[in-house]
Amino acid sequence: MDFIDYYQILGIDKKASEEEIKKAYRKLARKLHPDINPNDKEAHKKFQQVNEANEVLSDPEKRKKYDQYGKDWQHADQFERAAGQRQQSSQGGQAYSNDFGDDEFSGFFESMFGGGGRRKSSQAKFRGQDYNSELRLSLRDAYTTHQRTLTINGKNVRITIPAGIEHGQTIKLKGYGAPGVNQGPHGDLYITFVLENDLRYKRLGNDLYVTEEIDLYTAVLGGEVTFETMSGKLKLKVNPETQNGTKIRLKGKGFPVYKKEGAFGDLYVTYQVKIPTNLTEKQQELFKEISQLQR
Amino acid sequence: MQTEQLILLETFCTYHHVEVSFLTSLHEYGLVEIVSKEDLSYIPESKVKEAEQLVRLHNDLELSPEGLEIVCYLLDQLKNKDEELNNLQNKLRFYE
Repeated sequence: MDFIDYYQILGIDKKASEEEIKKAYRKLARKLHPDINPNDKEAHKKFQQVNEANEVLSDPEKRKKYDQYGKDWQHADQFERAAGQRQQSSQGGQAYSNDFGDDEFSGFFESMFGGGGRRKSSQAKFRGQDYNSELRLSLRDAYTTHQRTLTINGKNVRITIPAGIEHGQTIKLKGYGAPGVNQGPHGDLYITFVLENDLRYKRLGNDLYVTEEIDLYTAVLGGEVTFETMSGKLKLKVNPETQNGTKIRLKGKGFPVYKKEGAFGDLYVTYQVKIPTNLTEKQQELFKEISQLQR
Repeated sequence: MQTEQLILLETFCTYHHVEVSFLTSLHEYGLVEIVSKEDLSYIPESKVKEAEQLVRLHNDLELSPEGLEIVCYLLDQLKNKDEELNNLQNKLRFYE
């Protein structure tokens, strides 16, 4: 694994005093703390590194070892032996460490200080880390309640996605996060849904919008059109003299309302009148005739 | 009727290495819910996560209850803004 320069992470000199280390750590911790940056994965990662750097540099014994073997630690047989004899740390520290689960410390840290380098807090039970994940769905997927199998840390978890889920909506799966410490409860899994745009439908809240082509003759004389909706075919009556861009509302034919069975938004259909092309001579004559009648 | 699990305040404080007085001061600031029953104080299980967050901020960043109150206020604002942004993005998607 890569060498990690803890001094660089804390932005301090190798000769920094304990007080300077503490000061640098506090400054960065305030900026990057996961509770201050709830949705910033990069900040979480950096905080983890800062925490790790502080863990080592604020402990004179660990710092000495780090300074001694530092960059060349992987070639130092002597170091490897020393690592095996190392005593486990029992320094306090707690809850936020759980926010990083099994990856709390880097492989580098593990090599230097072993698993015992992790901070352990007596026998206190702590809740495990919460996991955050994104799940992409098409608009049509979101239209119906369906099941999906997700793989979380190697385990298959089957979840039910209720119809009507919105873009950006997050659901919580209690207990599907990282295991707790000392038999503490598992964390939770938060899934944020990303809904892909649909080529045919536009969704606004629970309402759906669609543009439907009708031919000129139906628009002028009236008639019926049949078109596909998300729930099947729909037959619509077109009034005579329907203008291009006419919008009609079909109550209850829109998107399902989240967790309200049987409740739907509305479907708005905008008629787009298609002008005929490749007219025959006869058709052109008839249009001319109609045109002259208008004068 | 739904019953809520309660965590004894002292147990919570022992686990998290904080003084009970710290939690009671957070309660006075309206940041933590504490329920009293038969002379004992408890935290409802559903509020434990929030309380743990405050304890983390206190321990890690040495924030006082006053500081935590400001942080909570700003985090609330951030959350509201995030929701507003999400709603606006959903509206914008309609016109894309």
